[in-house]
Amino acid sequence: MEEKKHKVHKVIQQGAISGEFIAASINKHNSKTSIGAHTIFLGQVRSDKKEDKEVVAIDYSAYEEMAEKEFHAIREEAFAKYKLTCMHIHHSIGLVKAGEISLFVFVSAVHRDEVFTACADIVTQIKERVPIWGKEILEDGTHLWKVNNKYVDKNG
Amino acid sequence: MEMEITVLFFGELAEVAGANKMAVQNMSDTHSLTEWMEEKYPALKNRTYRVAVNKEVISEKRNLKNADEVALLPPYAGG
Repeated sequence: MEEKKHKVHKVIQQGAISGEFIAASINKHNSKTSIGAHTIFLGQVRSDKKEDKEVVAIDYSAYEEMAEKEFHAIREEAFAKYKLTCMHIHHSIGLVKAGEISLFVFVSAVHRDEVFTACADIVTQIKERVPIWGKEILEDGTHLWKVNNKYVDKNG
Repeated sequence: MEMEITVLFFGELAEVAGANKMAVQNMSDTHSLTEWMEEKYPALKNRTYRVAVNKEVISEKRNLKNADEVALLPPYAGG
């Protein structure tokens, strides 16, 4: 297949990512018969216990223009780094309940080695570089702000 | 000359500032801006955040010009 420039795809979508959406996305690849391997990463909202209260949902917000710019950069870098046939990233904004999907990364290539490595790398890049925040809504209606485990303050 | 920048607050910092967006006049650089902000909102001093100018995270002081967009970004929590 001829190498082509990658279009800017809108990554952020309102609300949870449904199983139907994911299934439809897989089905769309039926016609791309050079692909031999897909990996899919799904990030699910976890019902953590915080201050003895359960997290019932996460309300996501983003610096949307910068987030889309970072998503695009991560995508371009991954295409340069790995031999991928195609790649899709979807991330939720707004309210996503515990047990629902908020991140969907879908990586496809000719062989499996590329997709395993690429998918893990892309998810790490997303968590470190994309300006998205999550307000954890607790069962009593109060909230806390989610912090990703590996956050490093680059300002020192 | 008069200059005005836009400051954006995200996540927890929007709660600290009580706003998502603010216009600020005559601020020469990012250092004087954050100093001024931390004086205005003392709770900011106890928060970790990055500064972005025109959608790019900066690591050193940056001079500001008219119509710049400065964003205060608390720890990311995507995924």
